[in-house]
Amino acid sequence: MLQAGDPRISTDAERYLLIYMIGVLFVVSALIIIFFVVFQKRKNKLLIDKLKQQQAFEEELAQSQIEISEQTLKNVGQELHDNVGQLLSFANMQLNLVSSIAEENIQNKVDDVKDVIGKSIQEVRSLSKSLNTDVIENFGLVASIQNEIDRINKLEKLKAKLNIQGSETAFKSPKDEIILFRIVQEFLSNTIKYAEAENLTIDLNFKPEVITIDVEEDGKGFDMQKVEKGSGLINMNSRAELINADFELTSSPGMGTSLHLSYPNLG
Amino acid sequence: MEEFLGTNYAIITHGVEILAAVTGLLLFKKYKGTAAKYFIWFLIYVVAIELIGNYTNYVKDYEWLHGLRDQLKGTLLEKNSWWFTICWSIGSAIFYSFFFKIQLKSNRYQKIIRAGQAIFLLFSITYITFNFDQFFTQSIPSITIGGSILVLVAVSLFLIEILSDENVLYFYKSLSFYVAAIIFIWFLIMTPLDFYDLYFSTEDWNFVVLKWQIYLFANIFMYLTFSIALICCKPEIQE
Repeated sequence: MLQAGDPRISTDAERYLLIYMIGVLFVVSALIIIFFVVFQKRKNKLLIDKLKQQQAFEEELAQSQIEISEQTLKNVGQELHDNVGQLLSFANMQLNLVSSIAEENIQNKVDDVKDVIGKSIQEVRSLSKSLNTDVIENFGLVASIQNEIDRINKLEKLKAKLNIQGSETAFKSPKDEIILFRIVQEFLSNTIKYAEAENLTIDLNFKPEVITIDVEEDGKGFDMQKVEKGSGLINMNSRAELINADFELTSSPGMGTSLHLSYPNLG
Repeated sequence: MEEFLGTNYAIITHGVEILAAVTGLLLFKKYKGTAAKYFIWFLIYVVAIELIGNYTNYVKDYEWLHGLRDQLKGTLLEKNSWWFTICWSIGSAIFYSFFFKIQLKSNRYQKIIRAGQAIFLLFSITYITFNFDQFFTQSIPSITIGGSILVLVAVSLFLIEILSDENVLYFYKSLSFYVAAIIFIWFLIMTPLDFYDLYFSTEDWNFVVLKWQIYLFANIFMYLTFSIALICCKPEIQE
């Protein structure tokens, strides 16, 4: 026992205990922290991997959905052309026969019907063109959009116009071309269905590394905040994401709607 | 080795402290707008209090200050323990608890730390007023231990919140996490030394040398890792 006034001197044992204790504390806490860091890093890596897998899966799913719908459209287009088109052509030929033997008083009526059927044949052909993926691929984006515009102008609901800047460059990926066209097509069909627009212009700009498409209409527009995101809007956006294109849709009530697409054509 | 450490003790300790502070200053731009800037200020503060607190050595070492030494002799300021009690034992505990408090999101945790700070300050002031003589002659273990407990609580709350928050995803790039870990180890190791304080006298050189060595290595470890952490970490965006 220490007496008061004794010089207090530490023993070896006490000092070693101190060193030992500090060593143990240091090693244990360092180990805990290292374990903590390594464990978390590993866990994060697993989480991120899982997330990436999920994303890849979703992308795959979206891709296959688009492929399926393209296939369906292609089938419908082919059917229209081969089936309905053939039937109409046959009807037209029959009418030609009828017209040659018809009496004067019904001649006019027969001619009217012939006109209507002729128009129908044209309509069915251009519709089947715009639905059939192969045709879009063969004709290219510009011709396909022009075909759409002609179709719209024939409806005589609104005046549509196509402006092209730069020379049409080949797409590095033909699938992307179809997707771009489908986005424009969706926008056009929405315009016809809801917008009550009078004028519509499409500006196509081919730059060396990027292709921009601007579509503008002067319809009634809609409130971006309030509109329910119907499948059309979501489809356009997700399709644009799929081909890494910038997608920008702006609209406000009374101001019409515009769409801006820029697609990096880098292969 | 022992001799080398003995003669260069002050230079090495101040060297690593200054290294950490200079690293902080050089990288101040990187951490601007984050809580880490307070930490960099604190590193500079540490260098300042160390340099000022060494006045007892300056008046001994430099001849032209010997007049001042004679004046200090016999006054309360002859030893520098009061300075380190205020600036380090109390100052660092308050700073570290503040540093982790501002990064906490939970109001309850913040309140706990605020209450801890208040209790600690009140306790320190009361203790100093009742043990005025001890305050000027030696360091006060009760205050050091109190401060350590405050810091350990703040660090623990900070780590708990990291774990329960989505920050856990990128904490290993966060400066605050490494500061917390280093501080945690440092205070855990240094606090027990205070129990041995009764041996810290000229009678027991073995212990004095040991304590110096422990301090030296702990400080080298702490300030070097601070510098490395400052260089390697990514600044967090403060909301």
